[in-house]
Amino acid sequence: MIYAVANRRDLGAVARLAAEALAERLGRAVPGLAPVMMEHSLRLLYDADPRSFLVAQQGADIVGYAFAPHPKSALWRAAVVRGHALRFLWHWPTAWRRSGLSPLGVMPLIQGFGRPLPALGRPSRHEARMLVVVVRPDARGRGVGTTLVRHALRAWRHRGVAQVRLPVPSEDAAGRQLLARAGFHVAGPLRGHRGWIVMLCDLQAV
Amino acid sequence: MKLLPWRWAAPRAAPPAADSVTMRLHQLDVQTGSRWLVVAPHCDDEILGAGGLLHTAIQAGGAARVVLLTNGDGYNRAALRGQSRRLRLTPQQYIEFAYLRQRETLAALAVLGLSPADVVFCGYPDRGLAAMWEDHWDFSRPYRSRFTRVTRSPYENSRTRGAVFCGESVVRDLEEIVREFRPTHVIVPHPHDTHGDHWAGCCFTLYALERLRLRGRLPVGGPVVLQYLVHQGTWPQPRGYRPRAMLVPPKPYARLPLEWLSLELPEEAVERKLQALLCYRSQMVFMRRYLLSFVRRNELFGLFQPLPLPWVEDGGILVDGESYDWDGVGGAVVDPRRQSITRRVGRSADIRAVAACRDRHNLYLRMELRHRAVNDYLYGISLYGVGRQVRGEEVRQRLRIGLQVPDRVRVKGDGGWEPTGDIVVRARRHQLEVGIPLALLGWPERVFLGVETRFRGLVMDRVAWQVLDFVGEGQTA
Repeated sequence: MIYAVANRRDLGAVARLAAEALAERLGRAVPGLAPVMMEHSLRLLYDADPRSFLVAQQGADIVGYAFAPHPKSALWRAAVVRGHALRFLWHWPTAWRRSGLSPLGVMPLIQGFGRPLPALGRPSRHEARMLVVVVRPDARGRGVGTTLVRHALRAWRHRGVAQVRLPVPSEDAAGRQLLARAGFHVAGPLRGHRGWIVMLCDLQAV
Repeated sequence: MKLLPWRWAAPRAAPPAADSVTMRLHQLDVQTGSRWLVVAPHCDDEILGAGGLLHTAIQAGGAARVVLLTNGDGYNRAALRGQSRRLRLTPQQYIEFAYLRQRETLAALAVLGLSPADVVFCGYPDRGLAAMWEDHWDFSRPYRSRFTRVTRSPYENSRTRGAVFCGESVVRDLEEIVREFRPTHVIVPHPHDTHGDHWAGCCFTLYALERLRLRGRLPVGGPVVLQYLVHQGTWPQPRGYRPRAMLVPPKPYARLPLEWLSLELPEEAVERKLQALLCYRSQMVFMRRYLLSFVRRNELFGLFQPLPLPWVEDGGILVDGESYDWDGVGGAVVDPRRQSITRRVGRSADIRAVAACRDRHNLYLRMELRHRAVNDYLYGISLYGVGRQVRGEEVRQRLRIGLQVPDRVRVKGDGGWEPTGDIVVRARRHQLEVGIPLALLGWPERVFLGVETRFRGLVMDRVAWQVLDFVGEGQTA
């Protein structure tokens, strides 16, 4: 198993993994969400922050990924300069309209088990709030997810992030256990949102 | 008026005193029962590097044998030009000249007290050893000498009659020589030597020793391997015949974790070395000052040690071209040379350091360049693994990886080029990081590692070959 930062060629495999994970976590396939749309969404996120995708590679295939974007990513610039906004508009009537999603909505949907993520107050450049870890079912139980989270934390710390605050749906026991193993602790329930807890990791202490 | 940069106008700092170069020189002692095997790439290198040692060893009652990998048949143009009117020499002339150099070698070694029976000529092509080490390994793809224009040894006194010019053949010759002679000390050229025949001669000998060790043909601990330096920039300085001066390693090597041994020569040995060197009339004609600058009151040897590979915890390295996850993993290879060619123009081709570590399944390499990695250059990594599989069968995996930024990876195994997804490469600014599954290398025990950069086939920079030791069960960091 080799852990690496994803490059553009890995995005296809990552999109496939993400689509499988979304269907698994929702219990059903999202109507109208074609694989191409998933890949468009990932390309936008990749262009905004190319170092946000970490992959675990076994042989030639990718068995897991972590999406850990820097809180200060160049989303707007990528959307405008790299043409993702135009592409979204172009595809909206035929593709995105039916699913009711936007390219930015896919990853939060995976993290929130089908529910949109609640806001955690004003965004800060020192606090990361998004971490999605997906491991293929046949590779689970071997510490791939934990290692991915650890690498994500180290990369964040290297890039100047001070702490990570994640809203986690309370039914996601596996996710909570994974985060706890990597050094997160439960900060308490999320005020104003039933069924969500907040997990916190202080990167200066790790 | 032309303005000079301020640095020029500023008074120059005093040059550091010679003592400030803190280089530990250990003393080499020659014992009675030792058996010394000297491997030299050309006729005359055995005298330059180890002439005094050979004399001292024989005086002390030891046995010595000298192996000459090539006959130096290519390095005679200047010497022969005076005698021949032709602009380009014929192969026959090169061959005749090689016999002349062999006679000079025998005469020179007789001065030191060796009999002709102790001298082995292998007859491989001059300036071809590096190509044989890198490209022409199998018997089916021999190297063709530029000078004698043949693919087999044309000399009737070469150790293997008509030896094929390929790497496997050299290694087999050396293995047989080592098994016959059973040396306690093997003296080879230094891997930091800039001459291709020299560093390749070193690699071939080490490779042969590794293979013998795997088959259990070497005594425990194996022979001590010492390395002598001949070609390295303008070294040795100052040039010329100075028999009372001290030979010290080149200055940039002070920063390197290399062990140097020094052998103090008695006056008689220095005199004998000079007399032996003077036997090489054909070389004295045009390199007199250079050759005589090796006649000093001591001889220098680098001590060979395989590099123990640091272990990291499983999956502890993220291949991202950043160095923060390499904290605590020491640099394996440092390149002290600063090539004139890469100083201004090709800074991206200048390798500063290479670090390596491993976890249970993968080998990780990190290359640090002087400047941002660009896709004009090919960053080549050669890994030759030596190991043994479960049933005692040995493995020899030769893997050559060509990297072109941003993400073109070519892997050349034993046959042909083939792309692969198994090797992960990431580049970021001036750093390149590679993850290689050990299964691709056949779970080796020792790996020969060479790194070079090329610009359209032209080698821009090269790091000395290293032997990485995979056996030591390191502590998990």
